[in-house]
Amino acid sequence: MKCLEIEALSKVYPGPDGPIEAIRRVDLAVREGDFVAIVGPSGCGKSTLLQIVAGLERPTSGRVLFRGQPVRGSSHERTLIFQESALFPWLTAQGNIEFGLRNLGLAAAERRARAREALRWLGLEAFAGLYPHQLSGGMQQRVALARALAVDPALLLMDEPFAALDALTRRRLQEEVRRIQEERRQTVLLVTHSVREALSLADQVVVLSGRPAVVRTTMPIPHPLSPSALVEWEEAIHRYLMDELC
Amino acid sequence: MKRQAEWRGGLLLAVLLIAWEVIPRLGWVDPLLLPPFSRVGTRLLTLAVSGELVQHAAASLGRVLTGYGLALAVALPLGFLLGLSEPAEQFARLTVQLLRPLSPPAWIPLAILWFGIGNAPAIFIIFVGTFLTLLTGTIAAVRGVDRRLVQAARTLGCSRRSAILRVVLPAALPELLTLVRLGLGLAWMCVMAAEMVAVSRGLGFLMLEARNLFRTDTVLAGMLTVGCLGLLLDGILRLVQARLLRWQVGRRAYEMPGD
Repeated sequence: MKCLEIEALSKVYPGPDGPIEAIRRVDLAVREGDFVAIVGPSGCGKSTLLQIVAGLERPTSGRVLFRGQPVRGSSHERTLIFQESALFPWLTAQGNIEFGLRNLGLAAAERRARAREALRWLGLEAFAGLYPHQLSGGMQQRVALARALAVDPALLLMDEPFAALDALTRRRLQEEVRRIQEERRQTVLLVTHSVREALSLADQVVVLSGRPAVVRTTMPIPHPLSPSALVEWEEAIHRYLMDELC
Repeated sequence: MKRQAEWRGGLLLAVLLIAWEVIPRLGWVDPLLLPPFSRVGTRLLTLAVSGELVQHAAASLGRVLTGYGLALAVALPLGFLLGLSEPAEQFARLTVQLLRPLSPPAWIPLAILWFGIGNAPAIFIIFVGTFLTLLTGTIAAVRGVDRRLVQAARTLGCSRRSAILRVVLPAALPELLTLVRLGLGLAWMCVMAAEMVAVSRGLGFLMLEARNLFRTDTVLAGMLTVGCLGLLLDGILRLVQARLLRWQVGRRAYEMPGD
């Protein structure tokens, strides 16, 4: 069963010196339960792609089908997680999580219960009453993850979610995401510039070219990946990307 | 800490008041031009007891609250609208920029021609004197909201309309509350200017009349009253601000004096 189908998607922005072509005829499919990572050189239009899937931007041409239906506008079914946590600073961790649940029309008691559950998934019970500025960067990103998972999205979109974290925190959060993805069979579309991150998390890695972004190759990744295999895969993908930079 | 801060705040004031008392008494300045603080205080008390001061103060306060309240009621929603819609803001931009350099006193002749003498011209001047500042400030506050917050809300299932109330408003609130406080100070300036020409009651009128009679003590008593009323109103707004922005405690790089 296909969760997401992207067909011949193109995006052209009006720029000061004429139109800027961000994405050119990208095709991509994500099955239910898949973890797909998109890698590519920075500024290549990966984020734009995610914004279009989230329904925050319109494509110039091409189609995006979500569970067989064309995407029109944004929805909690396609929740987006940003590089910086984008938490609401005036709400506590729990309040942030309940924000999305209110949109689902849940009663207060149920909102609270589900928010508690989401906090527990990410080991945040003790931080429920704290405001974002009282949390470390890693904790903030955990809350953002809990907030996104609480609305039970069919497709979780992640835009460089760990790029602003230190190496250790990043690693721990990556493991957490992998665990949750496996437990919930959560469909994930991740955008990252880190090939290693893509390889250690995703079942499938899509390599995009530099601007305008076109799909260079799509690789299914066997899991678990031995350390030596990881290095080999990384080397292979880096070669693809190096060609792009020249 | 807090008590120490208050104590420190009172220190400078106390020094200034003592200087105000001592310098005229020593004859360093003509007491006719600067009566010592105690005489001004006595005068203030006399005016207060006779009920005259309350009348004038109430008149000024009523004008400020009416004029500024009207300005808030129109400028905040309109500023929100213009802040959210780029085409609407472009539509209004030139007009706003043309009107903004007109300082409140520049409106006085027109206000008197249109409304004569009394409350109406004063309220009008407060309105036009604060409106554009509130409007441009609100537009800037709305524009300054991090668009990722709105995007995050949208992909959490929030509709465009409810994102305005649930995201843009709280995100812009810190700046809006500062704006409301600044605007109130501006409203006080406007009412003073208006009352010096267009009314027969109010603190501005009281001071102008006292000047004509060379009653420096009454002029200073009026100024003290304006200062105290401004302080009181700002104090109320500060309490509202502290209550609405409780989440900000410990977030700012430095706390504002008195906050």
